Amino acid sequence: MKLQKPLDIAAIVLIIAALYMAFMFAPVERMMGAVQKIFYFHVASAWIAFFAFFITFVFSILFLVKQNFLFDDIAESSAEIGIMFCTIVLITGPIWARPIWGVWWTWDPRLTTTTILWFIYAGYIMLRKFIEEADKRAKFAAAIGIIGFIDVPIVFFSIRWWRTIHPNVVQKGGGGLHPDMLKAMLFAIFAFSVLYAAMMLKRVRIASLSRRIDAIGENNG
Amino acid sequence: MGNFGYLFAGYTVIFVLLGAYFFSLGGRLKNLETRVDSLENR
Repeated sequence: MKLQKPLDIAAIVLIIAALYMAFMFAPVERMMGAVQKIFYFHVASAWIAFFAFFITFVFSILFLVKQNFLFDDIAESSAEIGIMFCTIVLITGPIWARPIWGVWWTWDPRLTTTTILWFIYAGYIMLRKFIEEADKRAKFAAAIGIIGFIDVPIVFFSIRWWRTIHPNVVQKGGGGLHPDMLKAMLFAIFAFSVLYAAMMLKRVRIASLSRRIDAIGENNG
Repeated sequence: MGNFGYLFAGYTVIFVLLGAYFFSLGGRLKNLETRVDSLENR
């Protein structure tokens, strides 16, 4: 893959730049202090997780329509990367919450729905491991990839639908966010998007090579 | 304001997870490419 190396390098450089934006460019928040800087990579991880699950949703539909296994590979790869970013969200959230809210965890609607999201896609990955027949595995996984995505808008809108203590920065005026903080956040999302693309390129190739090994094994009896 | 411990822990988690996954993908890919090559050359 000619694109892989430049994409890997671009992702690393952009993440270093995103760190600079978060620590040097964005001002220190007056009330929360330094710990608020977790916010930039926490939010970026959440957006990439949502985007990754959206890609799984789209390619699961495409697989069911076209029956092309490349679409199944893309859906699987995106779900795995999405769950990795979702794990980062679920770990960095409590680390940020502890000094600010005084507790590691609370059953707030945003936190609860995000945990459910993690379990849905963990179930998706586990299901894929348990079903040996490729066609059946892809079809069942596609069904979960489509139905499971329902939780993503629920996570997003949970802080508007229910009473919550989770901050809301995606609203008119940026939720009172300083313009430089907004720039640092958007840059972190951009850097993570390039990282997602680099990871996807590798992960989809892994899926297609695994499929090829299975095919060679079947041909050899 | 003395929350640097939490900040450090947060970014450590982020980079350990991202780094481990990123490099594990490279390792898995290399391993599979070698296996495909050896199977096809058989």
